[in-house]
Amino acid sequence: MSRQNQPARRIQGPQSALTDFLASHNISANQIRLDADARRRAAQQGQDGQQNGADAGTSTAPITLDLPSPETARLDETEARTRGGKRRKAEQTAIDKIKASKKFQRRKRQVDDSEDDDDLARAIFQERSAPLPGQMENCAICGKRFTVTPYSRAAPDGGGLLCTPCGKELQQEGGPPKKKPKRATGGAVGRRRQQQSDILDGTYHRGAKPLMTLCIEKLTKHIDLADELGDLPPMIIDKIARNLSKHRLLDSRTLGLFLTPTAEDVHVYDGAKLSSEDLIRIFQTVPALKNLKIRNGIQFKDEVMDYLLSRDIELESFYLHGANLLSEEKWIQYLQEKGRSLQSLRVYFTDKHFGDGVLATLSTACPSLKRLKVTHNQAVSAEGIKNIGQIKTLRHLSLDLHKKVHPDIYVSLLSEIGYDLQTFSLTRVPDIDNTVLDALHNNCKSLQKLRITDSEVMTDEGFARLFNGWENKPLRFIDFQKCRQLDAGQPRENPDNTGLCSNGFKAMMAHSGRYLVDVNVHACRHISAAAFEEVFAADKVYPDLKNLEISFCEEVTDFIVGSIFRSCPNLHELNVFGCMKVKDVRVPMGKILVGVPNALGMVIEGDDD
Amino acid sequence: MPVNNRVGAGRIDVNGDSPTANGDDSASCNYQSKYITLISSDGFEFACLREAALVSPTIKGMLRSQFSEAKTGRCTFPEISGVIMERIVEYFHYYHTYRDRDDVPDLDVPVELCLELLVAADFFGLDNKINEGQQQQPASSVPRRQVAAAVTRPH
Repeated sequence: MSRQNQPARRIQGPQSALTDFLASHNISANQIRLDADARRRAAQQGQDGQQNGADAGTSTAPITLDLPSPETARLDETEARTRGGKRRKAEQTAIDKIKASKKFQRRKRQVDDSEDDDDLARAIFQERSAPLPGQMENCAICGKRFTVTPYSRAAPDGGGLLCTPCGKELQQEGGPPKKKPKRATGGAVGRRRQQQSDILDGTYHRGAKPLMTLCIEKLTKHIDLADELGDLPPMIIDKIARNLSKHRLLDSRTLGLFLTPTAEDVHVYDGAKLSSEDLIRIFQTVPALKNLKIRNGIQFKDEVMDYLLSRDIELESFYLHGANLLSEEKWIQYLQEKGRSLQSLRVYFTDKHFGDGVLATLSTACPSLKRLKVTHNQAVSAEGIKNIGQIKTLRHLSLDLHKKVHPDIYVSLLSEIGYDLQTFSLTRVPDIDNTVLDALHNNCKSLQKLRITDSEVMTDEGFARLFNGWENKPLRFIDFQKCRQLDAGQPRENPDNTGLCSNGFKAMMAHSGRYLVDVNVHACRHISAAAFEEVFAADKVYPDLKNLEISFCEEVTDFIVGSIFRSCPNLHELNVFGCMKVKDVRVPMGKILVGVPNALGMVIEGDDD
Repeated sequence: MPVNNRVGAGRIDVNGDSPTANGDDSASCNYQSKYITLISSDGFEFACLREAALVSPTIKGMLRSQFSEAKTGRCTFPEISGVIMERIVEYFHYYHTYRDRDDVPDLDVPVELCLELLVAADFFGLDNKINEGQQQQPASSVPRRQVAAAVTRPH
């Protein structure tokens, strides 16, 4: 060791400024490194000696395997021999101490007297002197040296640690390690987060879950064990289907659970994993099918429709979502051959293959069509909407189209079929103006659900005209989301009263307030505080109102929110995202206030009585 | 409320005025009782806190008005086996114990009983509606453990 400790002859290349600086202060990096090496080596050998001394008791010749040269090995050996005696003495005192300790007595009582005291004490001693992570250690099986990490495994017989290869081998022999059961909620924060997530999902309930929900959740987890669902009521089957789809577990195998020959309804809430053959299987196994609902039915292609056409199935309700590989010709063929029984047709996300031609066929081919919904559609234009006007049986109409349609088209549509309409829903219609509202006022007498969203040209005056003196009975559902003035140049001013403002809101609540269940005036930001206060005054009661969405209505204050809770005894949920004047509201028991802009969290579940 | 208290009170009640212990007593006495007896198809009898059992619209209907169940406090269910009934009674008390709590631990449903329990849950009306029509009830309750103690052998 002495030879290495002496500074070598200084033959050197260019060196850094730092080395120069250190050298000028008489500090040698090389010397520091050598010292550290020496210290480390001494520590290793110390451990080797300790280990061997403990294992073999009297042995004085520690075996070290990967020493750099015979010379140093000899040096180590002699050093270890001199230290060995000292260490054994220290070890003996340590073991005596352990024998006297309480822990030892306790352990001795647990273990029967099969082991003698010395072995037990030595085991505890070894446990205590196990090397720490980062230190070097000899593997208990192969004897190789390795660096101890927190993941190093203990030898099976309890003495020493194992190197990585031996540890892996041992692990393979013992099978894969048991995974800790994953906890659904991580502590208090996780629980709170889960609860808020439930509130936003609308599935939150105070108290225990219904037994049915518990069973369905368990069943979903173990669906691979189920061969058939048996004779359950259709309502439960539907719940199971929903829960399975929620967890993306509906595939070819699990689909079979829901296909019983006597079923009339098949609801596939997530068909993303189903192939065309699976979809054909639905028609093969369920001959009495009446109501078919398929979401994410990407593989519902022409061949599937061909098969449906070849069968004796007469659908009453057909709901197809995401089937954008199905061609328009097949749609028309289907309607012409099977449209007679069709009462409800809902088509979502079909790119360009469900167009005016299909809508033109509806009026002649479907004499009993009551409900029509076409959303996220890029093909339907004004021409198709004119044709909807020919379907005199229609009661429910929902449209969400990409192509621009002039308001006049809707006006003439309403004049033709408006009288019997119960649902009228236009989503994302920025160009629809007051003429449509006037047409509603003049034609509709039995409307229950009304939705017009994103209009940028309707005015407060138009909304007020619609509701004042309307012969229609009170509505149950109103959605005027984002009907507001959009002018980035003058965001504050609204000289023309564009959008749903104070007068329209007051007229709306005066006309329909008694029976309204759902109201959405999201982002109708020019409704004044005075209007809210008048509508939710102390003497006004809206007994049926359950869900109220007033997010981004800027004038809403704590007082208004409190007034709303007072006026709506059966309110379930109130949304106030972006209402920055809401600061500190006391929420009555059982009500949910979502979106309060504070640091506590965006959801408050009422505690006050 | 300390747990010990509840256990003690519950035991005394079961041995005292529960219909299980008294057998077929006079109607008026049972009508006042805090407990009712649920009888399964294979003859097992379960004493169950009346308040807790009322969560089921089915049982609520049976105990209303002048049905014989309302008079005697004994409800027989020929469709429900003892194994399932035990779980149902366990659920009644579980629901009752946690009715006003926010963080409720899930009751463990054995996988093999899942489908049968699902049918029974439908029979007893234990679906989403129970949370809607929930009323504020007094805060006395019986711990789950007690259910097992209240089971009596078939005669």
